[in-house]
Amino acid sequence: MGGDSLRSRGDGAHGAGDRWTRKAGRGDLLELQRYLDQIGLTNLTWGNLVLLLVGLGFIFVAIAKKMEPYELLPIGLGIILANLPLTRMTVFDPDPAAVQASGLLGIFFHYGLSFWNLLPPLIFLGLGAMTDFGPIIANPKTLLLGAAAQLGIFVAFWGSLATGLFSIPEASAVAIIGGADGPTTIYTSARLAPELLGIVGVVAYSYMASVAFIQPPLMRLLTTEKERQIEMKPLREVSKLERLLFPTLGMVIIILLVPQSAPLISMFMIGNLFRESGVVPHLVSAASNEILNVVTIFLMLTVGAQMSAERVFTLKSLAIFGLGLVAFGAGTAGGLLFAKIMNLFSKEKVNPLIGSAGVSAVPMAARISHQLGQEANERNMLLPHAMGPNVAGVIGSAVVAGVFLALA
Amino acid sequence: MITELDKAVTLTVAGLGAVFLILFLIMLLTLLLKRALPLTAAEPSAAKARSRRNDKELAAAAAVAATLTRQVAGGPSHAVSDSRWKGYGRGQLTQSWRRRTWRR
Repeated sequence: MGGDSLRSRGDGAHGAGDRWTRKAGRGDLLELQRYLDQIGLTNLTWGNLVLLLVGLGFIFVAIAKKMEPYELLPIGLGIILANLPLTRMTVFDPDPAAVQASGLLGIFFHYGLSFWNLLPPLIFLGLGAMTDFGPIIANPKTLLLGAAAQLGIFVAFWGSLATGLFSIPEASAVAIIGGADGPTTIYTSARLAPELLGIVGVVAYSYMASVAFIQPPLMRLLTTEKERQIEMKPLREVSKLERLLFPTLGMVIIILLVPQSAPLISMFMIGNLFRESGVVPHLVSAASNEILNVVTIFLMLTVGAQMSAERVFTLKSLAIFGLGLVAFGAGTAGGLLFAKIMNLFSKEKVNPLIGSAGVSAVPMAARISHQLGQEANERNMLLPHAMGPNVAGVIGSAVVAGVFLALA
Repeated sequence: MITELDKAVTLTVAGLGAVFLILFLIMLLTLLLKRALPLTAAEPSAAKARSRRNDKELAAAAAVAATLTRQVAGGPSHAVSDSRWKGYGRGQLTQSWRRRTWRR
């Protein structure tokens, strides 16, 4: 009996232990399950995976192919960070009580772009300090080629509206990709359609990195061999007084007519005045090196970080890829055809190839004009001539951006 | 009431108009500046000025050499009246030629 009681006690103890073990086991599993739910790996979606590969692709292209590495490398890293789940890196919480809940890239985006829109004008300061207006001053006709190449913006604008997917502000943000000018595109998009900023910025920089593939077939198609062989006279020398007056007066004219372009244009011209004054080499160096480089890091990481799966895999994004290509193509065609029209009325012929450089994409578009010119005629030195429309394109796209910001 | 289409047309006309107008105005201004300011004529850079100075010195030296050759070969030249010759002294050259002729 004692044995029975012992057995029953023992059984009872064993049964309780078993239940306890079972309970403990279930508890552990729940804990494990809860933990697993909180790690990124179990929260990855197929969209995240695709974009992680896209991010790696950008990094590969930047490092292995050296295509726009200063832009594509941080953009690629930003894409990867945005698609690692549960990091909250791109979140911004405007509630002051929850300020610590915001993610790093979310803070960059909020203060750098959507709220203050500070980063693109700072990039323009650096670009201005690196820009030489000499080719424009020596041959001011090329300014018109820069204007004509903005045609791509308007073709993309109407294309966007025709899809029925975009409102007018969104269509304006998409269309500005045709300006082939990264900071202008980001500046406009951050103001008019912040939700499209990531995809618009990435498309703009991707196509800018690909102008060497997009432009030459069109340039060959729209020009004859004879036109490509046209030699242009070497540019005259430009005095220091002209170099000082050009940015000053240019800035005043542009801002008087399109005040909304002031943040971009003023920074661009101020940077250029620093350069041309010749008396502030440290400021020129700071603008074109330290400021430009630091701002590029934050801007490009932030743009890349806007490429989250839920934003990218939409019909709009697909349309933006297509419209960006249309914008680049139409801009190239606009510049080329306008150069041909100019040749009908001008005694001094211009090589139409320099017209395509009006799409901006400084200085790759100008280099492509030069390369194609040399293919047709070894004695052709088009680079200095192509820099005219190239820089004019930067001014032109900032002007159009100002008009969009004022009216869209 | 402004429709979306009106707004799109306005944006296109205003955008294209502004970009052409502004860049055309800047073009005109640049051309006017070039004409209005005599200073806008090309100012030689330091390197070019140095090169031009060197060219002038070389030309002067070549002229001196040519004249010397001519004088030594065929007597004093009356063409040698340039102020640059002052340093050398026309008379000295003539005397040198005479001395040579006398020695012969």
